[in-house]
Amino acid sequence: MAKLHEKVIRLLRPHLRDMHDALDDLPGGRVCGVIVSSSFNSMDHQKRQDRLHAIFKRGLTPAELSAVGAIAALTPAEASVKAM
Amino acid sequence: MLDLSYRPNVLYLASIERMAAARRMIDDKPYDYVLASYLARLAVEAIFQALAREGGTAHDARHSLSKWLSKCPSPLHDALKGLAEWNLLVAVWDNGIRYLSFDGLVGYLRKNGYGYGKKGGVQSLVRQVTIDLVDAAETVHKKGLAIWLSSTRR
Repeated sequence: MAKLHEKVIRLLRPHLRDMHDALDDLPGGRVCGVIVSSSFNSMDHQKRQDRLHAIFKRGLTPAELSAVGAIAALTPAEASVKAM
Repeated sequence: MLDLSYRPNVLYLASIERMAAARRMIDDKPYDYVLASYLARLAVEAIFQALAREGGTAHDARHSLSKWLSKCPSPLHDALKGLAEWNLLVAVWDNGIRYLSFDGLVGYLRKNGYGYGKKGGVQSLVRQVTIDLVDAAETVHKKGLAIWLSSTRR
């Protein structure tokens, strides 16, 4: 796991219940992917993104913030329920 | 046999056609919400694949949108960062949707937590979620098209 990936997880864990890390490490140290948490259960999609951004803005440097790519925030049901 | 389907330009054009077809499935009767959901997401996957293939990534048969995004150029990551539409697309879409009947789609959406507390019958619930999904896919698709067009104009 890359350094930024570790820091992102460390930052998120205290704020998100039952957090599951499905992030990917990209070339150049970037991070993107999926975060799963029951804390997102009652939130719409914009609110989830705002929540992630607020946590990142407080804990990451501007350079680290720009190296965090698109992260989808899913509920446990969204991450586990399959159509087939 | 020459396989054209993995060529970036073919994928780019296919993505535009799939998105237009998805829109027709919710705009014109008889509506087909399963097909609309499937086509909209396929359009996004196709433009992501075009971008990834243009960047030298080998073909990959998996259908995870976030995995395909990880193979795309960084301007696309920047364009999708913080976007509610990207979140919705990853949350709602599943590759198995294409095998579902209308009733199956209802069950799938309910298990995912969509539709509770909304007014109206099953038809209006599925219609609204599908419109939201297609709108979200179109927003993401347009971001992909913009990156494609800027990268191929060089």
